[in-house]
Amino acid sequence: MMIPQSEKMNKKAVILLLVLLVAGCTSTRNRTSGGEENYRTGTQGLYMNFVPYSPPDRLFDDENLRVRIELFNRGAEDLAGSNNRLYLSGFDTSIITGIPTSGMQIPDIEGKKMYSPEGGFDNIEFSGYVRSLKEKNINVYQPVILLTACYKYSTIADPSVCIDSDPFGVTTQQRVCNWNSVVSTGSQGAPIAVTSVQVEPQPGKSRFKIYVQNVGGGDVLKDGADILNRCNPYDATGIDYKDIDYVHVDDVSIGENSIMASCKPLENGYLRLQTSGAGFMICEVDNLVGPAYTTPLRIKFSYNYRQTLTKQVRIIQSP
Amino acid sequence: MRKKAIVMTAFLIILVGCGTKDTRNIIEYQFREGTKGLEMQLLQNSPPPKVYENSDILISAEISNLGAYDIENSYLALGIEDEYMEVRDWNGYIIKEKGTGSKRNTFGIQGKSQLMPEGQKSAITIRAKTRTLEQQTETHTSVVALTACYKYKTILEQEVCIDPDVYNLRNEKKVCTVTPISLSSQGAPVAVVKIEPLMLDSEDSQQARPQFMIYIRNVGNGEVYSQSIMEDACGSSAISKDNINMVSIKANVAGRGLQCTPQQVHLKDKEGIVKCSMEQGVSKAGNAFSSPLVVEIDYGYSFTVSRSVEIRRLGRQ
Repeated sequence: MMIPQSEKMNKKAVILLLVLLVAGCTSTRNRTSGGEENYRTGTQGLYMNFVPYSPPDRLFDDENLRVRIELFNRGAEDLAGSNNRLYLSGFDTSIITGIPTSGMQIPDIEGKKMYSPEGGFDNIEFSGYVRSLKEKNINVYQPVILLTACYKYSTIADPSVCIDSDPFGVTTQQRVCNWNSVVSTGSQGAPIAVTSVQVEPQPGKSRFKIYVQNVGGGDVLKDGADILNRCNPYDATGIDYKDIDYVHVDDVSIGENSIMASCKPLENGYLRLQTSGAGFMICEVDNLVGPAYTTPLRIKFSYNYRQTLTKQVRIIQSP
Repeated sequence: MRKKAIVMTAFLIILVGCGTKDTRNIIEYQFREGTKGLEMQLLQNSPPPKVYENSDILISAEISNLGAYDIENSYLALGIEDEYMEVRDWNGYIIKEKGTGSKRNTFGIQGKSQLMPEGQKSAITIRAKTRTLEQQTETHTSVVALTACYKYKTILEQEVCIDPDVYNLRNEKKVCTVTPISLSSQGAPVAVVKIEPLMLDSEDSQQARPQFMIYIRNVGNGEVYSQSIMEDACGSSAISKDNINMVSIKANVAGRGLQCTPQQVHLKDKEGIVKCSMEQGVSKAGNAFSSPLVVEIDYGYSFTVSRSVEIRRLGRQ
């Protein structure tokens, strides 16, 4: 039985309309109830990768070597400062020449913001030269190129906690909040995260056990320009074991009151993380009076961070 | 119709042209592998198992250079009993002195390379003549031996890890670790079979000194000699035992020379060990990196192929 042309056209129009409706109704954006972007999420600070074919997997000697890197700031803090640097190493400098041992400055890149939820990006290029392999009686050289990024970063977490001066008292008065023993905080748009806060209330006092974790996949170093300079793989001193797995506690406050002085265990203001990347500190607030209330527990760390990336290159003697 | 035929033909040509490709990569052919150097084989019936007195015999051999080094100015020597045979002449593409009646000749043959991945193969022919047997002798069995004495070189290119952080005090990612390397062959009958790298402190506190223990072995089926006496090895002169199983070694890391001790290595039970170190050192202000270690071993090599020939009196069945 033949279907009339007009009916066919109608069916096509209906299908097209449905497709448009579905596409229009699909949303990939994560919105809070207030319509604001929560940009303080994620476990990365600087993300980097080699631009494809730069360097190529294989090249001949007597050629230029170009290494181009894409940089993305996927954290919530801006990257800025001349001490933030990228370095290339891992190869014999008598074969690949011209790569500066002082590295190259990481350009200033904005972090995630309310109006820029993806963060900023930039790219950087190292240019070197491959010397003749024939003169050295070498047929093939296959170095692994190591890219090291050293940069200053910080983490700000502000989970809401319930402060109750009489947590176990029997009262007919309605509490605006009930204290939770564990407040999960997730990540804060940085490679060091406050993963959870354990609340231990007592009459007139509350204690907070703050759990911290290195979630970025790199190494966390003590802050300071000196450490950042020694992060250079070509530095004569380098980073040793007493410089790593430390974060500086800049601030812990309840509302406008700093409780940092009560935090333990700190070493001259630094919290030490275990080799697993995890650590905790205990801070407390006392002289509590009045009814229960909700308030942000503001925690800020600053640190230096080191990340690496590798790529193998095959350099062949020109025929 | 004609246009259609032309279009179809063009289409078929393009299709065939875009078909399967040979995916072998000539530029990157790995020719420095294998334990063989020169290989020789006497051809069938040449020499024959039985021959009459006063007659010509042909001694033919197929010679191949299956190693990764070109042989030049080396020797082939024919071992025969002078009382029963004499050489008439030599022939073959690789023979330098054709037509000579000498029992020894010089030759050269190319080894494997990027452009010649299987090495050169050639045949030689030696024309000899049997002499008259003594009155009382009906038959005599003689051994015909062909000996090659050639200069050879083993070249090893191996990436090694140079880590200036001698005591592993620096906390940083390293692209390689200093570990022993086991090897099998480098396209020659003498091979480097193991390298043990070590990083040492230098007298200069800012420098680290790489050192390598290099293990050598005769992995072929012939004898090793010092290169300087190869002519004697295929001659009648006596050879001092100091020149037997002796190789000469030198090494560098990306063109930076290493000091090797000893430079002349005596192989005992086919094996020897050399210690090579970079006296000028590498700066400690640096990350670990990989670099090519090049080891060159010079030596002479010799081996023999032989066959028995029965010389018969004429008239004997």
